[in-house]
Amino acid sequence: MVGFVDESLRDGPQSLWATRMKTATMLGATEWINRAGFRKVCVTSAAAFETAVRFLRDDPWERLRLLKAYLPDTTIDVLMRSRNLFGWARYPDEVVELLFQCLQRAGTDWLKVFDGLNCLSNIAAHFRIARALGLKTSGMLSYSVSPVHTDEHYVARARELIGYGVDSITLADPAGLLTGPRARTLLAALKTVTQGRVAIEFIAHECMGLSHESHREALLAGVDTVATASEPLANGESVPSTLDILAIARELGVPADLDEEALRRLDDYFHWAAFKEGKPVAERVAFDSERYRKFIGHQIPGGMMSNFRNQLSEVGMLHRLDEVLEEAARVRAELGYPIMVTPFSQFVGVQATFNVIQGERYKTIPEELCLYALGHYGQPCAPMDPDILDKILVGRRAEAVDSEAVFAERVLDDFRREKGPFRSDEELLLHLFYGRDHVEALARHKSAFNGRPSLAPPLRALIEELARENTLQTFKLEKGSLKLSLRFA
Amino acid sequence: MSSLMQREMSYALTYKDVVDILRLVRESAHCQSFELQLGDLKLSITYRCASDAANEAPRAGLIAPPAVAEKPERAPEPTIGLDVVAVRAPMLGTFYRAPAPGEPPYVEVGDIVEEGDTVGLIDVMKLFTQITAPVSGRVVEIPAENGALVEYGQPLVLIEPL
Repeated sequence: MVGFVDESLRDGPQSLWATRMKTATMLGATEWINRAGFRKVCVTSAAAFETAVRFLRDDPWERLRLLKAYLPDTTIDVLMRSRNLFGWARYPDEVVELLFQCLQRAGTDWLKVFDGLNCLSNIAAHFRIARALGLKTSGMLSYSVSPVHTDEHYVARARELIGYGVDSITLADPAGLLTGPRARTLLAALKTVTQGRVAIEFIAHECMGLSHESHREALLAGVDTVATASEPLANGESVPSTLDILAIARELGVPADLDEEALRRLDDYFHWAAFKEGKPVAERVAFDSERYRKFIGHQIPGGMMSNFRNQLSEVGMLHRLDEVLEEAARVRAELGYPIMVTPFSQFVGVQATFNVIQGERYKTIPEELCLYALGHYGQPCAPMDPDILDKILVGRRAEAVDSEAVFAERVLDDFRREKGPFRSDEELLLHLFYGRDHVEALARHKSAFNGRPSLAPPLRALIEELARENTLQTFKLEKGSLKLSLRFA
Repeated sequence: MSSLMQREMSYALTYKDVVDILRLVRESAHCQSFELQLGDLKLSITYRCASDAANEAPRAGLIAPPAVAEKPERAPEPTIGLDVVAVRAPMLGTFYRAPAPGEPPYVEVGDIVEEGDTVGLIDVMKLFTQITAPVSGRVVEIPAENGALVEYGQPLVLIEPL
């Protein structure tokens, strides 16, 4: 039996809608999501929280409570980024604990936690704190292609996670790089560590067109869950679609307990939501070996690529994009192959652009990259190139930073005294992560909810939309027993 | 029984069908008429003449004008004397004169700086990079405003070498 983790509300919008899915749109989907029989439903992440506050003016805490209320039979899952939690700084244990308490009160059952360096000492406390609260945890290991991201790397990290008492290990492939054969060997290696005692969960993106073959191997390897999304929020840079992976499971004889009718209704709802919100619907990606070969060098995520093009075209250097990407591949190696997720993808991308634009390597270096070189973010996946380390730290007080010093710091009392009082811990956390200006703007412009928004049935929705068109004279539609004929004044 | 009936009825037309139909309606709006027969679907549309439509203001939301990319207005290049060195933006980004909001600026006009001293910060894709003085000297002008979007190569601080 394989379980399905739904990512229609989290990874789908994050990968395809720039995280701009409103609470109201999410609530409209809850009836079908709750009925579909998912093992878990992932509902939020750092990006979703921040976007809700800063751009959508949806209260992210209220969103969680509403989702919980309309998903009464559903296990709620939340994605957590290392020490950044839902903000950008590195926060101490007491903030981790306060956030987890608030998430639990708002209905969270599971947390899946990752660190962009797979440096697990950064997140050991998360598992301890969550367990003490009674939350379930998954330790997420991100896959990458590099000389250091070997089976041995993942086996060692998985062993470490099991030592921290995780309830499951999630193998994540954020850039969709896992080929079928590689997925098979890697999952087999992980199984030697888990011995069937710790669940293995699998999430892989479609970006390269490999997600179906990697899922086929994952299902054959007997993973406990796969992560998928409703079709209009699947594919492209997102995870594969639930019905597609369900079809593969059926073909392989792997049982899955999902309500297909509910899944179809969910797909249909999101087709409408995407149309009304003016969001694109992505397609399956055709695998292209040349594109894959070029991509594994730099592994700059799709979302960052558009920003990159902007920067280069401003400088009139868009024609040198290939050169910048080749440079990014060099920088990524020199920095010790960080996983190309926030914030490390920015380090590599920005430094590569500086290097090419200025015609001199590492002449200008972002502050955060210096901190990274000093060990602020923890242990890089591989040691940094020593010459580059010298270049970055030249003329600076090259004091190594104790990446763990922050863990035991006490910041909340001072923060309450200086910036408070706050009406609740939830409000305090929003202030801590996003600052007073955004929280006040949220309070002023907050979207209001009176229950789940109602949606006109398809035929009425069609007529309402047609009435808004000013180009139409007559409109006739026949489908099955339906006959519709309209003449416009 | 009635719920089963409802299910069948609602499936006579799905939201996906509605989306497909509306896309066709909009994409063929320049035609006079449009006929489609596909499987059990029959669609037939006639459009108003172009002259009729032109008399009417376009209804909002039909076709949004292409978004114009936000572009920083190029600040006029300040006149830079031969004896003055300009510290220029290494990339498109946001320029800051102080290490944090509320803190005093790194430099003011008239200050003496050493080569390598920080004279400002630039935020590129959420990463802050220090801007350093290429020479020792006196700050004679700070043409870039705090918090302004600056372009690649735009002069930020002018220094007269001493």
